[in-house]
Amino acid sequence: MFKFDPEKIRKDFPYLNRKINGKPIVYFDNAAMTQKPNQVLGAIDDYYKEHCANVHRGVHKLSQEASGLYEDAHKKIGKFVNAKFEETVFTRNTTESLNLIYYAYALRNLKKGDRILATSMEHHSNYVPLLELKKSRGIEVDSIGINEDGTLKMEEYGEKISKKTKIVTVVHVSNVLGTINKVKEIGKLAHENDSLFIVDAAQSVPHMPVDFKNINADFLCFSGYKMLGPTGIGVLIGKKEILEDMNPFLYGGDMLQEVHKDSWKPNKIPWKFEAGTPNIAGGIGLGAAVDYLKRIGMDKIRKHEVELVQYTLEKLKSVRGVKVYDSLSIENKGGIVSFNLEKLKCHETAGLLDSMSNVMCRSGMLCAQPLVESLNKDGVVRVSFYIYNTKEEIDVLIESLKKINL
Amino acid sequence: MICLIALPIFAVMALFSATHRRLFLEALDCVFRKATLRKCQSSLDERLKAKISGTLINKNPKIGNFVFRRFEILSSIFLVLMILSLIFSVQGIYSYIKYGNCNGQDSKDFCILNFGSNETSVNQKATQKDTFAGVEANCTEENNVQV
Repeated sequence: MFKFDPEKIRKDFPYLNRKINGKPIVYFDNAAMTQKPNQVLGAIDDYYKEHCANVHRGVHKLSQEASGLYEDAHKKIGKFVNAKFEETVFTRNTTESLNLIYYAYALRNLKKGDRILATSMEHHSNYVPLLELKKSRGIEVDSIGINEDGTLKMEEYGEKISKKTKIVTVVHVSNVLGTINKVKEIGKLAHENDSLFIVDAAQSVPHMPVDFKNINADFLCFSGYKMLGPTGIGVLIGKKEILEDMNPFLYGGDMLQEVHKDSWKPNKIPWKFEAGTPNIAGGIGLGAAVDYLKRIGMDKIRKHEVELVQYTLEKLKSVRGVKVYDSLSIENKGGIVSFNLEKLKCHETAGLLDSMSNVMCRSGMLCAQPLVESLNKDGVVRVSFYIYNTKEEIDVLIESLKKINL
Repeated sequence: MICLIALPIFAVMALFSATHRRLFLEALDCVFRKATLRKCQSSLDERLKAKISGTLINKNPKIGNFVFRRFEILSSIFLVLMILSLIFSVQGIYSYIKYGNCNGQDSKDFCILNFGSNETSVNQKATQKDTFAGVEANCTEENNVQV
């Protein structure tokens, strides 16, 4: 059994060897992008050096090897969230996964007057497409509100779900507050009403065990680069029967079986949704990232992040003039802490932290403007943790904040 | 304000470094936007403020925080100083071209621009003569006593 040891894990991450102005990097922007371990970089390097060929397009050895590696990656990632191989579609990122559903499903199946129910804590990628559907197709969009403690107003689901509600969508973990939403419960309410249930799992799959079957979502979307994988690779997990019924999103090579002068026949899933040459290296890299995470254990990763969040919240109490946007119990919170310093704009705080001690965190609207504006009209500072972060790094953050707010 | 100060500095540095060329363009864009009463989009002003104040906070938190909180005023002071310095420099260059001395017509004061020329030698000799006049006088007195 792998023992969780951050110091051992840190040895796998080359970014930690870098020093800027003689100081190490303290990377706390993991909700936006995680660093990459040598194992992932090695897998990408190995593909380009040893097995570089297009997939599903050749009988030669290199193409067969590349296809094998790419298909294995689908299997690994599907298994990681308890989904079948054919239910695992590779996309560019969560945004594309969500857009795929809205373009390939909602645009074709929903009509004027139908309703989509989201929440007030959605990322722009799961809200702006809905506003576009509203504008172009007259589809009604409604949102579930948020309680003062940062949780969803669950009672509103009973009031707002109706026979007109065709899609219910929710972010699993908020990228602003870190709220872990009760997706299983929300999914049950959606299915009782025969609504399609979509979960944005960009901030949950990389940080905690997520079971697609257990949640009973129809679609689950997440990104590779937020879970140690390379950029340009995301995942859409969809129920087999729904994916089979759906029309493709993009048309071109590999998404079809045969083409005649006046007709064509789509390929089987998941390839039906992966038109054109895919991000092969990205998929293989993500497969290696999943291997790495599984070796550590998602339960241990979650436990580590809970410890870091608790430590940060405790330490932040000693900083004068800090406003922490948190009133959640720790079991309902992901590895995210948002705050502001009095009299300072969020970008000023983040800029000073970077300049003073290479503490790299996110500031601004965090791609969730409606929610962030309700907290602070200028935005917030967000620190988000991952497997390689330590309590010593949090101490660096706290000391810098104390110096700023003298 | 800081972008305006940074612009000429980055302009000179851009001649030698590609990194500063990008910063120069950012500063130029920032100045142009501010001149047309729009917000600086590149956030160069915020980054410069954080960089300067952050470095100072690390060395002395009180001074660093003072600079950070009064950054706009301090920038304005530096901008005025820069403009004044620019005016005096232009005036000096003009005087040097016209009269051969950057301090104006008939001035015998030191001029940094006329190094190596006869005028400099004359000026330097004059300055040296003034400086050592007292020493020479003392020596003469001592010599007189000895005699």
